[in-house]
Amino acid sequence: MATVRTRSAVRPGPAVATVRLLLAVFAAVMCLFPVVFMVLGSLKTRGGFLENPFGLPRDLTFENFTNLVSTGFAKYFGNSITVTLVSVAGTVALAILAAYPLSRFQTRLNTPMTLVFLGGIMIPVHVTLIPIYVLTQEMRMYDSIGALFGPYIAFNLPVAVFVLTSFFKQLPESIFDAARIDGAGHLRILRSVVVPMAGPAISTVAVITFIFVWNEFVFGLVLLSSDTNYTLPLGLNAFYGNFSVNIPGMMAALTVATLPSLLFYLAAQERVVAGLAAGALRGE
Amino acid sequence: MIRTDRLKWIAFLAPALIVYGVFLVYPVVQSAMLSFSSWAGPGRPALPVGFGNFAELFQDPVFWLSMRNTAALLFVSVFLQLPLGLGLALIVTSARRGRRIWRGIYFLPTLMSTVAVAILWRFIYSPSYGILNGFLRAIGLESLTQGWLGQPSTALWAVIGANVWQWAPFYMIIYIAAILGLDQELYEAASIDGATRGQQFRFVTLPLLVPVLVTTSILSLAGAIKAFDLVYIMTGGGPTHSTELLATYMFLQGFTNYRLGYASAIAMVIFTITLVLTVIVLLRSNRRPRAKVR
Repeated sequence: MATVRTRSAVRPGPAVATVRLLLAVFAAVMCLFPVVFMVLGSLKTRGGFLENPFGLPRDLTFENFTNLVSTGFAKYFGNSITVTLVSVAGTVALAILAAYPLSRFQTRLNTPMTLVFLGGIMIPVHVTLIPIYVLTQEMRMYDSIGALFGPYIAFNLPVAVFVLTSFFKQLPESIFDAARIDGAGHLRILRSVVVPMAGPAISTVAVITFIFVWNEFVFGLVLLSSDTNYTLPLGLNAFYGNFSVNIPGMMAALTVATLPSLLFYLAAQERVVAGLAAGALRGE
Repeated sequence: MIRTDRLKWIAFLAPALIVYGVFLVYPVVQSAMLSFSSWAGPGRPALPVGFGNFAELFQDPVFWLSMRNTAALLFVSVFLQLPLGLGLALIVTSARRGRRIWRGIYFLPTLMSTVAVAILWRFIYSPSYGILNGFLRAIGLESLTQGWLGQPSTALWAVIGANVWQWAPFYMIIYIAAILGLDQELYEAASIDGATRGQQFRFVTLPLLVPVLVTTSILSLAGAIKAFDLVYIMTGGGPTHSTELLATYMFLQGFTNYRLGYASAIAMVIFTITLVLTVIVLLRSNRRPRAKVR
């Protein structure tokens, strides 16, 4: 009896394995069915969808995708790419500059300053919404994608500074001494020593920022008003308002909007997982 | 280590501090100040009203409804979403093969943008061509089909269901990382002592996961309090405020009714609740002995 139990703890019996597999498959179905509904829907004609919303498409068509080209969809896509690139680059650059003194300078001010940044992790976006809306109007930035850069970078800085500071602290002191003996200044050390060694931490920060910015909705909702300036999430929302009768068209738009995140995940899944676990302090 | 050179220290920090100060710290302070005024937007005078906004808020039935709805979301987030995330993580980590594939499949909902999730679930809940009603019809429960988002009695739970679907996999990712980081020798020791899988989970895995459970609880509490996108797109807070959350009500008062002072008062309530819950969870977790191993 004892041997059986020990064996079952190490290698499950067939009954346990079957139950576990059924459970895994059930969970997979729960996670996938809306996505399958979306992709299948995008391949149907409007009439075909109404006749047969759930099954496989009987009248397979890619028209819904080609039709997207003539809408503002490409514009939304382009805006999202611009906003994401600028925000990720800005967050990474500012966080590297800030993390360097916080990790490598010897001063008692470092602890309070780190806490100042850490405190930002828990601030809900909604608490800043009205003042940022007002500020954007005063700066005459309202309804331009430039208005999004400031809030996006500011809200990603706390986690970015936190991740980079803890990484820079682990770099061995000897390489800094060597660089200084060679006469390198701070900026030179940053560029030639710190940044090349901090690849993993920098890509973690880039991943967390990308996921936040690519999906961000509420700042866009408040700071943008014309269709041509919309990012992808706002574009989808507007699309839904205008085209809610054309369900397959909507499904095609949703599918295309989901693809970049999916490809991004497939290309860098270990980095995404590590990034989320590290950025877990902030969440969402 | 570099000896203190204050000027260079601050020069490196300055760019980040300026952006952080202008777009995060200053807005929080200004929100606090605005919550004591009545203001209809730029170009109009802001009138000081003292605690007037808060007095009105505490008499406002829609505010209390949105508090109640937020509390329901909060409760479900901690007591359903987190266990589901942990369950998914256990399925993935106990798989002998294809861990990455299972993880990828389960992670899909969190990968989608919230806007896409919201629109998709509107279709799922749709009375005529929605999957949910189609499924009920297929299994002979025609009588249960209804307009899930269109009636106050079901709308809140329908929205919360979509929220759980989207975010449970996010917590799964954190739990997977934590479980794989546990010392494998402990499991070997436990199985030599004759512990079953269930006992190993109860007496080895769970106690070691306490710090991660605390972190994820804070995360899901904070997430529930600031939940907005999904509800805004799925129902806009309706019908008749039945899915109104603190964040959607704040948005309604601020950007639909242009009552910026009143909306700021709601924002301060959101801020205070987040702060209090974070402090409570942190204090409680510090009193308990942390996992000793590691």
